[in-house]
Amino acid sequence: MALQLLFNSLTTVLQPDVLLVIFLGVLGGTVLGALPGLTATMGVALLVPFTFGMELINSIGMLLGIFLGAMYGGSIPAILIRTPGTPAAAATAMDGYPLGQKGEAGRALSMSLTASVMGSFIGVIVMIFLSPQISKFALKFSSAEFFCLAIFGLSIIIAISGNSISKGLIAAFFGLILSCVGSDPINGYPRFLFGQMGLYEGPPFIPTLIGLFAVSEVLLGVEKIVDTGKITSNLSRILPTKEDFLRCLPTILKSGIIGCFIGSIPGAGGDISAFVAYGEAKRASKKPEEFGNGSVEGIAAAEAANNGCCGGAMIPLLSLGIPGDAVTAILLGAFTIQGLQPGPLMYIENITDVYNIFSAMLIACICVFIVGAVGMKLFVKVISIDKKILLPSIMILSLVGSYSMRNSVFDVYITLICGFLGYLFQKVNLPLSPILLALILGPMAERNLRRYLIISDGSFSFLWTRPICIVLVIAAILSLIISVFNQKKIAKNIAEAEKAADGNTI
Amino acid sequence: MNKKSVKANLICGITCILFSLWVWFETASFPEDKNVNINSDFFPRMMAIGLIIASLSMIFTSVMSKKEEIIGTLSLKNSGIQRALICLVLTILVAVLLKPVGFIIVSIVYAFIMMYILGDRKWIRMIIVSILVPLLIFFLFSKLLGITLPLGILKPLFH
Repeated sequence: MALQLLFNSLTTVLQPDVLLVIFLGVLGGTVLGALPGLTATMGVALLVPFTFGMELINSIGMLLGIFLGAMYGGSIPAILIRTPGTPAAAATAMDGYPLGQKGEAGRALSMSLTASVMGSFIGVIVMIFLSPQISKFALKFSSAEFFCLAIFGLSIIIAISGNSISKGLIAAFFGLILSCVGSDPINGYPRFLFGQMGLYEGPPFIPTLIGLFAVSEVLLGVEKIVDTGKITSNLSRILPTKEDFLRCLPTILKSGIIGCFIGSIPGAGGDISAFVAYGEAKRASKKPEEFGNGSVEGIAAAEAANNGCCGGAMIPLLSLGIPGDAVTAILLGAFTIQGLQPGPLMYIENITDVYNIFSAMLIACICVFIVGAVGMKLFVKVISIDKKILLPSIMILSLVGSYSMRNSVFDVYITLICGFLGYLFQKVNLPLSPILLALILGPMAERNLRRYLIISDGSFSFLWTRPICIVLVIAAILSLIISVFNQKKIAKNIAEAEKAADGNTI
Repeated sequence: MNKKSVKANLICGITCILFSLWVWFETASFPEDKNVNINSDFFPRMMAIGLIIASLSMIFTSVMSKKEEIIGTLSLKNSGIQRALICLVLTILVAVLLKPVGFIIVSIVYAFIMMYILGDRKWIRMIIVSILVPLLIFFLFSKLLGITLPLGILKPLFH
């Protein structure tokens, strides 16, 4: 039954027009992911408007292509210029950059491509098998469970983003208040509208996140213009040597699975999975001393894990309707605009859409490999694009992207306000990802909590009478407590990695 | 104790607390349905309380912490900040003029001025890029995606 569905959806996805948009999505995602200083989140946010006018299947294909492409693209600047960006890139940069400095950038890039693609594949396969099971389980969830799930997802993203719990909490609560803007989810009363009907459906999602993630980055970029300088690298190969490949294969397989499982925890994303897999690879390696000085195994571990995470992060997105990280939160927003409502019911009502998503992701993995192999030389050039050209172009694209969702100038203003807010937030080290997740999870949390409280006559008894709720709430609290201790350790690791890499530049 | 980061955190925390108080009072005007015990103001108010607690805890840890936290500069005298603010003002102008003047002209002028502000002085490259990028984006959206950006004063040309 499942195989038949998968086969049918593959024939849908293998239509020339769908293939073309997946391919374009991967290309666009990789280019934006490869631009120094642009995170995968920002890349996906900027490209989502291109999918608005498309048919459902095309838009799904393009979105997933962008997603996987952007995740892979991030590794290129990490290896070539060690751009400080997401911590996920930091793990790749720890070994990729030293290896590039030894004149073996080709070896590093080829390994990162192979590991990325294999990691994504592992993630997608696990997703295909696991997510239908989880959706069956989730069908038993009532509003109390969904509320606790939303809280759990938020607690994880607070725990892993930024270096202070209280700042993560501030960002999350701020996002939750923002999510109250618009009509009340239970009785429809318009809240915090200031007479603007454009806000009735809540803060417009795409304009808000383009503002938070793209405009704020451009403003930061304008503030300190840093030139990347010339890149001279020896790109002798596209595929890793047989020895390198065989040596890293166990690491890739293990890291892909680690990445996928960490990615499947709502809230935890590529950054944390890359570091966990990197640590595990170092522990298991026969040559741990090479780690940090240009170990191919290190690159393989980090890349397989942060790409394996893509499939993993899709599991809660599809089966529970809860995004696994900031990038999948954008995907969720984009799916909703297309009229798809991810969650356990999608597996009953729209099973073909679910399998189309599975197939599109499988095909997108292959596209990443083709695009990465053929375009590697191009992406290396992309990195050296002058910031003076790049920044105005990104700003114009941001404005157009936010305008095009509803053909509305009001949305452009929203983007600019959010951009300025995001800029100020980053100045005081407030993380942005919790705001994004709160915007998605806020209405879900409120709707379910209030629905439950109306039925239970205001009693919060679900917190201690429903087993799934108890587990989720305890896990949420634990994740916050543990992270207080772990964050110091991770911050120290990143600082050490950057120090070591700095030593290599001089 | 690093005075700069404490000051920044203090300003940030107090702003958040004031914001929460505003949310609290704003929700007071929400209508109440006597039949249900939970109303529209319930969730925003809980979140406002949460924001106040988180802000207080951030201020507390920031004042108590011995380690210095690296905080970006926010001084208006800094040339980088000035550049970012000019960029923001210019971009707001783009939004204001988008409908009346039209996307193509506004963004060509915008791209050119932005490149100048960013320190580019290669005139020929500046002219070519600032014309090509907006045109490329315009045709990408209108031809491939069917989304027409505002034409403004160029409207007669396209009919």
